[in-house]
Amino acid sequence: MTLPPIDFSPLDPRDGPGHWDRLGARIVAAAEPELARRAARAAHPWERALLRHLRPVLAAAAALTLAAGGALYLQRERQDDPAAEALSALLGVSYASAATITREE
Amino acid sequence: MPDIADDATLVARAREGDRDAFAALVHRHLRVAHAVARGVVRNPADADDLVQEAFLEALVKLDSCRDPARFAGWLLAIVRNRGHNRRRWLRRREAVPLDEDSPVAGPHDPARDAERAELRDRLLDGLGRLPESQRQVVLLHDLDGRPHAEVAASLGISEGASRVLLHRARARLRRFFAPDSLPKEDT
Repeated sequence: MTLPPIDFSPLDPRDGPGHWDRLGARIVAAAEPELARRAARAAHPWERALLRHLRPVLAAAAALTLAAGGALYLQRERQDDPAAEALSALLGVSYASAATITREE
Repeated sequence: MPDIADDATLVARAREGDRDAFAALVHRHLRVAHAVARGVVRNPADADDLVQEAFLEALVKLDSCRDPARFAGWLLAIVRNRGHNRRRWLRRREAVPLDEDSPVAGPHDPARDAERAELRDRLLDGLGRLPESQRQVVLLHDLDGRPHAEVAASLGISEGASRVLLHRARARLRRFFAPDSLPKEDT
C-alpha cells in the first residue's frame, strides 16, 4: 500500500516563494570571500602544490641542516686537536675522553 | 539520472571557486536544509541564519566531502549538527523565543494564521520524532519532489531502501497527526 505524500506547505515561509531567492542570494553573497579564495587557488595550481609540500620540505631541510652542522662541528673539533686524536688511537678510548685528558694536561 | 551527476559536477566546480555552481547547489538544497533547520531551531529567522552558516561551513569544508554525489546527506548532517549547537546557544539566551514566527508585513487572518501555526508545529514535532534516515528521505521526496533514484543517490542508499524509509516516515507522521494516537516505533 502506498501512502499519499505529506503536505509540507505549512513549513513554507510566510513571505512567499521569493524568500528562497532572497535567502539563496544572501548565502551566495556571504560565500564570496571563500569562493574568491578558492578561485585564486585554482588559478595557480603550482602554488597549491608548493604550499601542500612546503611544511614537510622545510622540516626535512631543517633536519638535514642540523645533521650536517653537527657532523661538521665534530669533524672540525677532531682536526683542532691532533694530540687527542693520537691519544684516542693509542689508548683505544673515545675521542671525547682523549680530548678531556689532553685538555687537562 | 542527470541531477545525480549534477551534484557531483557542481561540487567539483564549487571547489574551484565557481560562484554559479555554488549558487546552484544552494538553490537546489535550500528548502530541505531549511526544513531540517526549522525542525531543530523552530524560529524561521534562526533557521535562515542556521542554513546560511551550514552552507558556508560546507563550502569551507568542501574538499573533505568524500562523495560529492551524496552532497545532500552530507549537507543535512552539517545543518543538524550546527542546529543542535545553535539550539543550546539559544536556550542560554532566555529572552529569545524558540518557536515564534517572525512578523511579516501585510494583511493577516488571525484564525488562518493560528491554524497554519498549529499545523506547522505538529509537522515539525512529527519530523523531530522521525529517525534521521526517514526524515531525510521524506523531506527530499515529499517536500522537495525528488524521485527515489535521486534520493537514494543523495543519501547513499538503495532505491528500495528509500521507498521503505519513505513509507515508514509517512506512516509514522500520519499516526502522529491522528488526534487519538501517539507515535510508536516502526519495526
